[in-house]
Amino acid sequence: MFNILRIASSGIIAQQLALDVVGNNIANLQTPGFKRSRADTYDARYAPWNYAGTEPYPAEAQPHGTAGNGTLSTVMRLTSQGPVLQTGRSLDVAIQGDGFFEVTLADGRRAYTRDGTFGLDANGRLVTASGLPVGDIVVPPDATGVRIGADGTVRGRRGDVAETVFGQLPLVRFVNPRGLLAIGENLFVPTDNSGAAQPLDLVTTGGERLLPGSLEGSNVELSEEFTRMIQAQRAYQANLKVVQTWDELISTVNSLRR
Amino acid sequence: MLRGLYSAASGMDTHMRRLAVEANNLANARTPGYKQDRVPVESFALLLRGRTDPVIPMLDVPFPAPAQTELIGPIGSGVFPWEPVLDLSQGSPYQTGEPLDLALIGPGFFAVQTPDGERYTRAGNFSVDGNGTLRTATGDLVLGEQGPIQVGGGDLSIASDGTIFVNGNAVARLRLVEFDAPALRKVGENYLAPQDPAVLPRPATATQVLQGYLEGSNVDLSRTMVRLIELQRAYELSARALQLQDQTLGQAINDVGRVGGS
Repeated sequence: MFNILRIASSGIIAQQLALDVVGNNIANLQTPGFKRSRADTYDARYAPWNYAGTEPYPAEAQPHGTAGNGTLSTVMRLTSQGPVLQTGRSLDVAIQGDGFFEVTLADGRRAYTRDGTFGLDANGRLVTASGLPVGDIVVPPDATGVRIGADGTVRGRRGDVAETVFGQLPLVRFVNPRGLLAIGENLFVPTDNSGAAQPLDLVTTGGERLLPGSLEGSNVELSEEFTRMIQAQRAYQANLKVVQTWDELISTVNSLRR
Repeated sequence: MLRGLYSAASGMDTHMRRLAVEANNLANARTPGYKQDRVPVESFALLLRGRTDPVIPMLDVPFPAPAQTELIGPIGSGVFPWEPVLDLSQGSPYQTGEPLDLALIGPGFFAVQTPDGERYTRAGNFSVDGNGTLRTATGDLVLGEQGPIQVGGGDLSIASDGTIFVNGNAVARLRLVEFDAPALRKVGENYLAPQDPAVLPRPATATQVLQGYLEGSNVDLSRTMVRLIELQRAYELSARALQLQDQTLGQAINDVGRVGGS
């Protein structure tokens, strides 16, 4: 009988989580390279349906019906392509198709990002917007017209000579990019679910392209997030109604005996 | 008289159980591929009230009735909830645009390999693992006609008959099944199993796959809300009937036959 409250609260918790995920997606509507997530529910394990106060079922007559135990959630990251936005900045680059840029964290570990907002630090190293080095690319201080080419090279002029290549952007791909773990600052680290990073060679791979002077926008779509928000809100309220109904039934019981 | 108390209580028990089932339906109102449970409610067998004998279950009365039993008429003895039945009606598909989201149109199911054996599901929110094998949202293997499906990390497209193309090449076909008589029970994680383990499904003939869509739960929020209101009132009515009989019983015991009166 008290099970009903647990079932209803499992629904409330699931919709709360769905709202949290929607909230995080909307907050990152403008984050370059952001990949939205989605909370999906699934039903919890069922118990055999039996009747209170009756004999247990004999073994040969297992009940066919089942009593539900509410709902649980999984959160999936959806790695579909975001819109490519032209910025004209020479050190911005977007990936069209699969793939990630490899970034070195402060502790030497590798992390991966789709955010191609690069710049140069005080030592001329190519770094992400949060200052983490991308590959080991150093641009000499006298270089001019530094840009990223469609082949992933960082190039520029020194004096009057022709363009020289200072380095190659490290690009990787994953079997299952949805399985990557987000660690904040637009960075992901691999897990068992994503598989290990495999080098991505733009020449030999088919569909992937680099688009210099552009950034990949967030793949969050506001209209869809609002739809999900409204649905989650209504489902949340419906589960609250169950709690309320249960409460009224129990108060009826408690007033039976005066 | 006491029988009436228990009849009323059986009504209260039935509606509380209906609330538990509706609670589970509402908790899963947004679960992809979820099928709602319905509770059939039935009255207990009518009893024939004999004038002299104790009650006889109506079904057991030989016809014609024994001569010594003068029958007055049937009497109810309450209500009970049957085991929930699955409403397998189609939920409405909604677009997600994700290549690994699949909705089924028609009566069939996806086949899934779980630690407990083969299970069937309508929830097509699939994923791949680190080896590129197709899995359900809860991590079990989605079965193709030749077992687990290796899709790798390529560009995935799935035809309406379940054929999976990776970068344009057909690599596998989803194992879609249908049941002749869908006597299924829910086991959780959006999975269904045949009630009789000996029942085997046959390959689907009338089921289509829709890529980039998910099948919504078939829980109807407005109807469920109406049922919540109805069951609450029915519960209160049963409680009131119980109270009235309690009062009548109290009067019979304490007041009837009192000499003198107050």
